[in-house]
Amino acid sequence: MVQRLTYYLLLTLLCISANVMFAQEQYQQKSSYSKIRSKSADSRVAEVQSKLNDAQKLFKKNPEKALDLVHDGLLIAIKENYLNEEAEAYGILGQFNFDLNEYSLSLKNYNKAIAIYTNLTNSSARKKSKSPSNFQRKLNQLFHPAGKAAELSNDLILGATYYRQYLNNVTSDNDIVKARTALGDISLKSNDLNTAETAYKTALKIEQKRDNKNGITILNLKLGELEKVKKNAPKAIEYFRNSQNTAIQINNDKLANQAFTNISRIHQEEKNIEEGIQINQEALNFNQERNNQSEASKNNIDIANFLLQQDKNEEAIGHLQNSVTIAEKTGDIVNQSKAFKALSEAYDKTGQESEAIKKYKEYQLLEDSLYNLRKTQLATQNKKGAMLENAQNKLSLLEKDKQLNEKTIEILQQERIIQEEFITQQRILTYSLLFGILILLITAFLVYRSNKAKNKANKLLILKSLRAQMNPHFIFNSLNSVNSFISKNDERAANRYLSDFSRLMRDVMENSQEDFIPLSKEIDILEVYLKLENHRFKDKFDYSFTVDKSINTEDSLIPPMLIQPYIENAVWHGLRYKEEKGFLKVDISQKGNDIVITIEDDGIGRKKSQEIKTENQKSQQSTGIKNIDSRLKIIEDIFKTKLDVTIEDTNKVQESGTIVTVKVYQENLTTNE
Amino acid sequence: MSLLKAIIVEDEEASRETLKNYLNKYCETIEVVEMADSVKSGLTAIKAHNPDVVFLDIEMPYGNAFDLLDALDDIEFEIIFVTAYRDYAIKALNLSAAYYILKPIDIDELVAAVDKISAKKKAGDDNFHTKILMDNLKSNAIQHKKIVLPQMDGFEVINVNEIIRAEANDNYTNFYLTNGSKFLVSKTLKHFDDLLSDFDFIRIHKSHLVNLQYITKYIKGKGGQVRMSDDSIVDVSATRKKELLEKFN
Repeated sequence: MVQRLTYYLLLTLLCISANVMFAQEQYQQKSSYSKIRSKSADSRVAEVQSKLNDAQKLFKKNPEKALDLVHDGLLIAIKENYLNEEAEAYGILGQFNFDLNEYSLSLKNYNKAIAIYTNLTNSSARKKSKSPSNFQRKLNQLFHPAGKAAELSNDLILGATYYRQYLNNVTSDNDIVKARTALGDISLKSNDLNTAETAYKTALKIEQKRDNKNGITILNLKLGELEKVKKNAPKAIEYFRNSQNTAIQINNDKLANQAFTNISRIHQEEKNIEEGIQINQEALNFNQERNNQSEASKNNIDIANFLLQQDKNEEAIGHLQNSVTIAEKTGDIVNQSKAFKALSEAYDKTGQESEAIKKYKEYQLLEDSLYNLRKTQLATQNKKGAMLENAQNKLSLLEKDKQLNEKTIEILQQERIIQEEFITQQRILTYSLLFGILILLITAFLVYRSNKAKNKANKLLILKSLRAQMNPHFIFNSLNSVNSFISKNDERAANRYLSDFSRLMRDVMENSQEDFIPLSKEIDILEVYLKLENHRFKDKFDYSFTVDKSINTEDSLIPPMLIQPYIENAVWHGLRYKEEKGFLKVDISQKGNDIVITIEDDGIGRKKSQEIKTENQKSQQSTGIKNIDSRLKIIEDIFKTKLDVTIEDTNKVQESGTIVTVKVYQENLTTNE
Repeated sequence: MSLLKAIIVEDEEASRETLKNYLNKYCETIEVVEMADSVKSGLTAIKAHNPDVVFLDIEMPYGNAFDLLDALDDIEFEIIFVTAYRDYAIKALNLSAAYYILKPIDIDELVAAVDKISAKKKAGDDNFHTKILMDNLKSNAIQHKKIVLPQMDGFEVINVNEIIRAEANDNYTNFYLTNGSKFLVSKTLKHFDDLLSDFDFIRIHKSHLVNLQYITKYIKGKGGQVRMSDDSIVDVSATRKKELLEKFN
């Protein structure tokens, strides 16, 4: 029952573990596929990288081609889930869009790039594997342009956020100034004047500290603009003046003119005509000195406009004609147009109506051509915009595709996670099952071993008890014999018999403790036993007991009390029934190393002995021989000693007499056992 | 008074001599008229002498004591069985309360047995033990086996399956029968436990031996109790509860 259960259990366990092995094999195959894939992946990364590099080189010359390249790279990056390359591509797109003045598109792309890099930075920081600084650096590079794109697409809050992030992540003075300036600009735009002022002033301090004139110039300009917004004209003028001065010092005419223009505008707004004329005169002198024709022309126009407000028409006309001359010379249509318009106004004021109309017509003509020029420019811009729009549409399609892909990837990943979990569970299950099997086997082995040991112990015990069983009949009969001597008052005989009997009992008891005894001891026992039995059946048989002298009776071993039952049988079942006196011959000889004992009688024989038993007697069986059979089996089993017993009729024709031959092989026996 | 005529049937010379010597020496009421060494010679001697008592060895070559008794039509004599040790025959002897002595012969035991026989002979009682013994040996069915219960004033012979239960009463035993009667027997409960264990009797308590077939109910408890067919309630000791319940499973 238990064995069968164990078999089933083992079978089940084997089946399960085979399943698990199979599953694991499959999994290993799968993972080796993904290894192959990752190898080819490296080359694709390189492909994307080279596309992006080419695009950047090509952009100035052929923006359309460059955009195509970026889109190609982006497509691969999205498909293959190269996050780093994807972010890079978005960054480049943002930059291209920005350069093409498509700020909102630019912002979109920058946003994407920033989102990806942020994720990468965070996850690599979590994993602590690659240093996150690489991604962080790329991220920082994006904040400023992204902020600019946001600013220019009027998302001022986002722009400010990006600038702040930029500011938080940069360390060099240049970058800090850049960040603060940008932050100031955008704050100014969103009318957050305090923030703007702080930003500008902090930047200015840095520039002053390191004496960067260019920076100082620019920041003074910006602070001037800020004060202008705050309607603090004197302060504004002061900043612009500072700016103008430093600009002139560093020969930056453009900035200087910006300062002049700004101051001039303030005067115009404040209606400070004298100061306005004065500053423009100053600017005119500066520009004439530096040969800045266009600026000079503009200065003339401004001066003229101020003069016109004072009704100094003739003077104004003089300046305007100067301006027209310069503009014509340099082909400066804008200023020429402005000058014509102002001239027309001036002539109108002086009543030179025909001259006014003439100038106005000329003004209109220039305006038309300016308009056309602008229209062409706008068309080009629109064309570029359309192209970008188109490209962006493609991108958004791509993105939708990617989202789908991502979902698929997500599902795949989930599947993989589930698979991995499954494998892990299976593995745990396998290990625990294997462990279980191991325990089971160990237990089975231990049980088997202890059973075996128990079995052996049991057998030894049985053996011992079998040995100790001297036929009780013999004991009682011996005591009867003593009793008979007593009843006859034969003290001497009783005593002798009792002594012999005691000696026999003592020997039997002593030797029954051993599994094997020297042959000499067994001989002693048999001698006494024969003597006692013969005494009881004196009229029934004579006997001889011979031992081959060449036998080393001390070293030959024999199980104790092995021969006695056969002698007993010969007497009780053979000789006792015989009419005339019989003969019992016990002989111990040697055959090779082995001991051969023969017990031969000429009694009635086994067949007749069985026949003469009545119904009432048959229920009893000879326990002596049964005992011996069990003993022989156990001895052979435990000690691997061979014992041969053959029982034959002495006279085979008459089936009378019995001859028992016991052969004790000495092969596995040693004296110390 | 005249001496009781005795015959010894015993195969071993030493034993015959011993018995004869002791009888001569210690039992003055008996005279050994002949000794036989087998069933065959025993029968001849019995027929020749018509003895009052036969000392009969149970195990002999060429047939045992029961073979000898089978061969006789009518057993007029008392028998004292002689046996070397307690074997299967002892139970049968006890069931019929036959006389027996064990070898090596104990002189006191021998004298007591002979005295009993003498007293019985004087009272002129029938030798019904031997008849019951032979009946029991011949019938295999349990329900036909009889038991002889010695009492103060004689013997009661009943069918084994008439006994509902037996209860210890010091060195005596009370028997309760199916007909509602109850009587005291001058033997210990232990004696009957040994004797009746082959007949579906079970010792459920130090003081109680019951016939399994008359148990009508088991009442749960530490050891519990059983109700017998005569509605008597008998305690079961905790140590014997398991053995009892196993009989019913």
